[in-house]
Amino acid sequence: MAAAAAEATIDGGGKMIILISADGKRFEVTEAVASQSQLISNMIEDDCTENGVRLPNVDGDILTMVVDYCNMHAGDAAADGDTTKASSTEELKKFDAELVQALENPVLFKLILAANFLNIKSLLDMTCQRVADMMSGKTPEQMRETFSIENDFTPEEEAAIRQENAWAFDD
Amino acid sequence: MESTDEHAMESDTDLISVLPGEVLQHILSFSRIRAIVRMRRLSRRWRRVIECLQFICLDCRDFKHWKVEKFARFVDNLLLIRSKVDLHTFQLYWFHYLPLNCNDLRKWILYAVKHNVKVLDVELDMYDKTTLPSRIFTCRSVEELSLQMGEAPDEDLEHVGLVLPDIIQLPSLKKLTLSDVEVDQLSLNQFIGRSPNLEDLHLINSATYLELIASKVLKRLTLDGFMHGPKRFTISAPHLVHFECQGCALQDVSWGEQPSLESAHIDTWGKKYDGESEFIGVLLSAKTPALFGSDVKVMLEKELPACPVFERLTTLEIGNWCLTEDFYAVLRFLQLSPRLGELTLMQKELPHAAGKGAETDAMPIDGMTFQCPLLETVIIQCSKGDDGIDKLVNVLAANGINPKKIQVTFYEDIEEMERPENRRIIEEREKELCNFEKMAKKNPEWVDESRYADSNPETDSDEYDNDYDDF
Repeated sequence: MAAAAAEATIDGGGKMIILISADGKRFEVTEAVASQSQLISNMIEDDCTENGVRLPNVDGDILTMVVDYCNMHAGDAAADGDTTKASSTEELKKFDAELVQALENPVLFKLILAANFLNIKSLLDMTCQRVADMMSGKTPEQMRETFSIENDFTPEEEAAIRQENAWAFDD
Repeated sequence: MESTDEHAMESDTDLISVLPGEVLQHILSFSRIRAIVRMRRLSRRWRRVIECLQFICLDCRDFKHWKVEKFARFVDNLLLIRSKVDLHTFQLYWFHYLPLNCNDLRKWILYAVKHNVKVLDVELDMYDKTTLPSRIFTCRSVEELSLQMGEAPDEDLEHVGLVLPDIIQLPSLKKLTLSDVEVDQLSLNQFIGRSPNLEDLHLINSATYLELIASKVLKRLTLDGFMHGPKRFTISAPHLVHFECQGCALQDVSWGEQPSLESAHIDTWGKKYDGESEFIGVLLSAKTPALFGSDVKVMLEKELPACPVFERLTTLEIGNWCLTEDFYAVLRFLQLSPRLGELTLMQKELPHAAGKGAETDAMPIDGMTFQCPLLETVIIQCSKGDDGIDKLVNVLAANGINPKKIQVTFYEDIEEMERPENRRIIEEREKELCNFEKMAKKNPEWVDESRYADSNPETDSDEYDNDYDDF
């Protein structure tokens, strides 16, 4: 999935852009695919993608997933009309569901950070939704365990907030 | 930038708490409020995050068996623990036979307005007054406003819905949804005239004798039912892309500056059509029109013969008249839709299908053929026991549509099929409630005895009750 050697133009895809991850991996994608990232879309508008786009806070393996995701969803954002090329909504739903279910903690959060940094709304929504689902229906102890959250309350503070929640929120 | 040695430790490092505040708030926007208040107990960081909660969604279904007063106390406390920070979204959905206290409701809405809320969305079954604090309608921050608060209380003889104040000035407004609100021409002009970015306007049982809807920026318009009227009105919105209209006759609608709609959902109840201007013009570049009603049929019969091709049309939903008797309009439409990929035909429901829908005779279809090479799916919706459907299938098959691509579904079954959509939300909600019950058992001292006073846990399965409604 790391980009093959330069292949200047690909059929019908318009200009190609090179994305460079923190660890120096290069990904070649079409402008249409890349501009699902609002950040890159703005850079394309400002004409500063000539020498590749460096993404110093996105690792290669995370960027691989982001690029896969964007390739999959390019049909959504692409100009209207050409429905033959875009993946069907059913397929997309399945792809998204499988992607998000497979994510384990460290990768999930890195993907959230990448989606936030690159400003890809649909990917950010999907991953944040996943975290919210993982939180729901859990006691505070279970939530802490799931996400390795350290309890830094003193026992007195914890008792106080527990009581407060009990009368204020029936929690 | 990050060193790879970290990988080994990562699985037990707290990666969530170090996310930027705005990302945590984004995560919380997908969480249910009962879980959110519990997150206060996680750590100091989380307590602070919850104190700055940006998205508040209060849904009565998350408060099953709660008394109104107790719910009000919950909301009050939630707002009290918030720091002095702006609020992004305030949503309140209350569908319960006991209404919320109107003073509580006003207090919460004013809180949201004072905290520069951007999205304000209130849906109630009942509101026992006909006005809201006028400040709401001069709020400078609100971008999306939705008020769906039910009809006016019975004892109010003057009004049927919520009454708008004299002055409306919402400069940031982009999307407005009003249901059972008395929207007259004057208020509409203030909404449109003083909200330069108003692109979405949805009036549900709200329009009262409107004559003109004129806007250069409006992109999506819904008129679903009318409070008074409708009499004839004109839409002058050249940039409209989506139009939904239900609850009036097609000939009540006329167009000023005509838009080129991309999608439309028109479901009208008239029997005849003598509109002065041409209607079909607004649909010429539509991709996904949905057209229902006898008067739509009459209009199509009148205007389609001289109509150019629908170049962009890919999905068509059409019907709600007796198609088995009267198939001309559909066939003519198909002749003009070379790129059609998906077709849904809605046959009128059975008891009515037999009677004459429109006051015109069926137009002959002998010898009419069409070519839709891209047509992949045909869905015919009809009542069980409607005998004429084979006739439709035969006409389609005669024009080269593979009968395997034609599915016939019955109205009686459709409701069943639509249910799984919301299953995930229901499951999440059940998880929350179940968890709450468990905790209540573990900590009996927290339990407010009154909770169980008004319901018997043995029979409290509201969700499943519906399943027994089908006979």
